Amino acid sequence: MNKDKKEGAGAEESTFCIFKVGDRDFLLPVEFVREVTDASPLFPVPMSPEYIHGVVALRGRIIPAIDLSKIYPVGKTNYSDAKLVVVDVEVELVREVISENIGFVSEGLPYFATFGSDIPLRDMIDVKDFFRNYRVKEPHGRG
Amino acid sequence: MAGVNRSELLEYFLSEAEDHINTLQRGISEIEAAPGSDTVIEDLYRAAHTLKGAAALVKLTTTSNIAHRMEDILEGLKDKKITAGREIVDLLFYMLDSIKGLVQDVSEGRGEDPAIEQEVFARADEALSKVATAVPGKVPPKAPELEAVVPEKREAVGRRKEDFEFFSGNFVKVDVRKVEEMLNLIGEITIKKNYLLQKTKETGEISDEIFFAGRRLLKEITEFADRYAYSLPDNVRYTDPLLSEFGELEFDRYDELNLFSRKLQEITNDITEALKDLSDFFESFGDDVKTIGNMIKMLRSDISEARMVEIGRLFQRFVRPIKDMARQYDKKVELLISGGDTKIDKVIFERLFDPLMHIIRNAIIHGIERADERLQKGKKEEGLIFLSARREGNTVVIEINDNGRGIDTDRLFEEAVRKGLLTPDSRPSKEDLLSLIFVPGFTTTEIADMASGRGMGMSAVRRLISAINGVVEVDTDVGWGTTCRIKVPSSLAITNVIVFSSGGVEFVMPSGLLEEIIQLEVTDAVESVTTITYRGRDIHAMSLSEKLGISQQGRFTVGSFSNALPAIICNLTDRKAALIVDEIVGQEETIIKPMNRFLGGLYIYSGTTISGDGRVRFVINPLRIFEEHIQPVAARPVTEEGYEGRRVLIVDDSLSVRKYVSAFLEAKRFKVYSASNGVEALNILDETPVDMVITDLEMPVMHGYELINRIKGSERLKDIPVIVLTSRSAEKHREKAIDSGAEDFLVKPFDEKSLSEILRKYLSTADLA
Repeated sequence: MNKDKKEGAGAEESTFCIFKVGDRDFLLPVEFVREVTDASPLFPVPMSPEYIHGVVALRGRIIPAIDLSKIYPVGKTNYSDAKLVVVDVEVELVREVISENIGFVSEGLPYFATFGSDIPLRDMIDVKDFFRNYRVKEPHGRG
Repeated sequence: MAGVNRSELLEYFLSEAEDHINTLQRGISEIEAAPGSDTVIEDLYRAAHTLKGAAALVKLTTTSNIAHRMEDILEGLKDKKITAGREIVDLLFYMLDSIKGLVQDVSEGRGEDPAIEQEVFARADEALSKVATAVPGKVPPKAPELEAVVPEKREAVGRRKEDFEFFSGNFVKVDVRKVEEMLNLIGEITIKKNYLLQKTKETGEISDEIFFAGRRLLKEITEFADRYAYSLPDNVRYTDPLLSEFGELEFDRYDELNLFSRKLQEITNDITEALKDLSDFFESFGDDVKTIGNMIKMLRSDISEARMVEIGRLFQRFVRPIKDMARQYDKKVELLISGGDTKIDKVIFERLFDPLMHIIRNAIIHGIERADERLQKGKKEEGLIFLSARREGNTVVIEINDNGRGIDTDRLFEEAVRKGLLTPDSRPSKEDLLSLIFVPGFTTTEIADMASGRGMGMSAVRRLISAINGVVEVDTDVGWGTTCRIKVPSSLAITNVIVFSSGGVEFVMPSGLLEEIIQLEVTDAVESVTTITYRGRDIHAMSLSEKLGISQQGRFTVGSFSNALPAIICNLTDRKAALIVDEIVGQEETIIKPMNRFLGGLYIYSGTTISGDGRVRFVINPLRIFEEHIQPVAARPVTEEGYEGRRVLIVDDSLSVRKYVSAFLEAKRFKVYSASNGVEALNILDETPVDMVITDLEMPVMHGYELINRIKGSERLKDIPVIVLTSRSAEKHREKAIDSGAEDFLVKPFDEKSLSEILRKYLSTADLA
C-alpha cells in the first residue's frame, strides 16, 4: 500500500504520514512531519490534560507527546511499541507567529502514502488548528 | 518640561548618536566601495533620519539640521535623483565629520557651534550643484565610479577636524546576543560535562562490582578446591609414572581441579590488577573532568563578566529623576549611593530600572516628608535616599533606603479590615501586614497617600523581580523610614537549581528562590498539612504531590509513626511558604529552557531542564504554586482621578524619543512600556495590557503601519487607541495611518500640549476600569 494512485491522473496528489491509534488511522500532511522517534523515555507532566501522554527530550528539545485516543474515540490502544511522530508547527497565535514542535503517539511505525485529492480526509489532522485548539491554556487568564 | 530633564536625555542621545554615527560611517564607506546598493542607502537614510529626530529632541538644532540635510541627500540617492558619485561620498563624509565634531563638543560639555551649519550647507550646495548635471535618470558617469574604487585619502578633501577615531578605546563592541549564544554553548558543555562525570561514577561502580564478583569467585573456588581436596584424596591415582615413587606428603599433587583452581586464582588476580588500573584511570579521568569543569566555570565567569555592567550606571540614571521629582513634590531629597562598582548581568541590569524607579518614586512621594514636617519631627530637613548594592555569592543585593515616615502598619491593618481581608480581632504580625502591599490591588494611591504605603505597583515590582528570579522584601520603621531589599542573581545564563522529587517525578527550583530546606515532622497525612510554624511564624505549607495530584511514594505511611519529610521554604517575596516534597535529590547547575509553547499554560512551571542523563525535569515556580492563596484576598483596585496605573506603550526606534516620551508620561504617573520596533511592541502587548499605544511609522524589523494593522486586526487589542508619532507631516502619511486604524496623529518634534490633549481625549478618566 505504498503507492495508492487513483485513476484521475490529473487529480493533485499529496503524501501523508499515516499512523495508527486504536482502531483508527490518522493522517498528517508529510510536509509537517519532522521525524519519527521512539516515544520513550517518556516523562510525565503533572497537571497537564489527559491527552498529554508525557514529554520526550529530543536533542535538547522538549516535545509533548499527544495521545489522540484521549481526544477521539478510537477503541482500545496498545502503546507497547509506541512511536512518536514529531511535527513542526508554525502557528499564528493571537499576536505572534511561533514555531514549535509537538508529537503524536503512534502505535508502531507510521507509514507514508500518496493519495489523490479526492480521498475523504476525515482523519487528517490540521496541525495548526490542532495546536491552536489543544494548546494547554492557563486555567484562568491572569490579570 | 515637568519631569523631563535635558541632561539625562542628552546622555541617551549621546549613546544613541554613537550607534547612528557608526552606522553612517560604515555605510558611507560601503557606498564608496559599491555605489548604488539600495539596502545600504536605506540603512543610511534611516540612521540619518533617526539621528535628526533624536538631535531635535535634545534641541541640538545644528546637528539636527545637518542630519536633515544628509537625510535629504540620501533620499535623493534612494530615489535615484542623485548619483552616488565621488562628490557625494566626500560630501557625506564631510557632513558626518561635522556631526561627529558637534557631538563630540556636546559630549564634552561645550555645546554646538551654530556657525558650522552655514559652512556645511555651503559645501553641500556646492557639491550638489556639481553633480546636478549628472542627473536625472541617466547612467551614472563613468569617472566617479572608477575613482570611487580607488578612494584617495579623504583628509585632503577637507575634513573639518583631524580624523579622530570616534568613541574608540581599547574595546571591541560585541552584540549582547553573541555573548548570550556563547553562554548557551557553555551551558550545553556544562550539561555534557555533568553527564560525563556521572558516567565516570557509574563506571566506577561497575568496576567495583566486578572486583567483588572476582573476590567471590576466588573464595568459592578456594573453598571448593579445599573441599574437593579433602574429600577425594584416595581416589586420585598418579598418572605420571615419574612421580609414582613419591608418597602423598612428599610431593604436591596436581590433579586437574587443582590446576584449574590455581588458574582461576591467577586469572582473578589478573582481573583484580586490571581493575585496580582501571579504577586508577577513572580516578584521574574524573579529576580531569573536574578540571575541565573548573575551566568551564572560569570561561563562563569570564564571558559572563563581559556581559556585566557596573550597577552604579543604573543608580546614576536616578539622579536626575530624583531631583526633578523632589522639586515637583516640594521635598528636599539627598541621594547617597554606595557599592556602585558591584557588577551585574546586563540583562538583569536592564530589567531592574523599572522596579527601582517604582520604589524610588514611592519613597519620594509617599515616604519622605516635606521639610517643615521633617523639622517638626526633629529630623534633618533633607530627606535621604540611600541606594546601595553588594554582592553575596551569586546574588546581588540592592537596597533602597529612605528615612521618611515609613509605612504605617496600623493603616494597612485598618484597610485590610475595611476590605474584608482580615477580621478586626486578629491582627497579624508586622511582617504579615507589610506583605499586604504586594497583594495586587490592595494598596491604592488613596491609602498610599494617607497611610504612606508604598503605593500601587508593588505587586508589579514583585512580578518584574520574580521574572528575573529575584525576590523583594520590605522593612519599615514607622516614623523613621523604609527599606526595600531586592535580591537578584548576578547572572541569568546558568542557574543553580535544587533537584527534588515528589510522587516519583523529579523537579527543580532555582536556588535563589528558596530560603532553606528543613525536615518537617509529619505525624498526620501530609495532605492535611496546610500551615507550619517556621521561625516562630505560621506559614502556608503545601504538599507538592498533593498540589500536582500525583500520589506520594508509598514509603510514608500515615499515622503509625512520625516521619520526617523535607520541606522547601520558598521565598515568595512577600512571605515564606513551605513546599513539602518527598525527597531532596541534590543541587546542580543547569540551563533553564522556556516551556514548549504547547504546554505554556501550565503556569506552575516556569521552564524545563534536562538532566545530565537526559531526564526531563520541570522548573517549579513557587510564586505561581502558592499564588492562588493570594488571589482570594485580592480586591479590585480602587480607581482614582488621574493617570496613575494607566499604561502606555511607546514604540519608536529612537532611544531619545522613547525616553523623552517616557519621561513625559511618567511624570504624569503613567506606567510606560517601550519598544524599538513593531515586533517588540507585539511581544509586550502579548503580556501586558496597555491603555494606549504611541508608535513611530518608520522602524526596522516591523514598521508602524504593520503594527497598527496587527493591533487593529486582533480581537483582544483592537480597542486600544493607537497614536502615530512621526516626523512625517505629509497628508499621505497621516491618511494612511488613519486608514489603517490609528486614532490620531502627532508630528515630531511634538509639543507637550498636544500630547497632553491626546491623552485627555483618548484616556478620559471616566472610562477607568
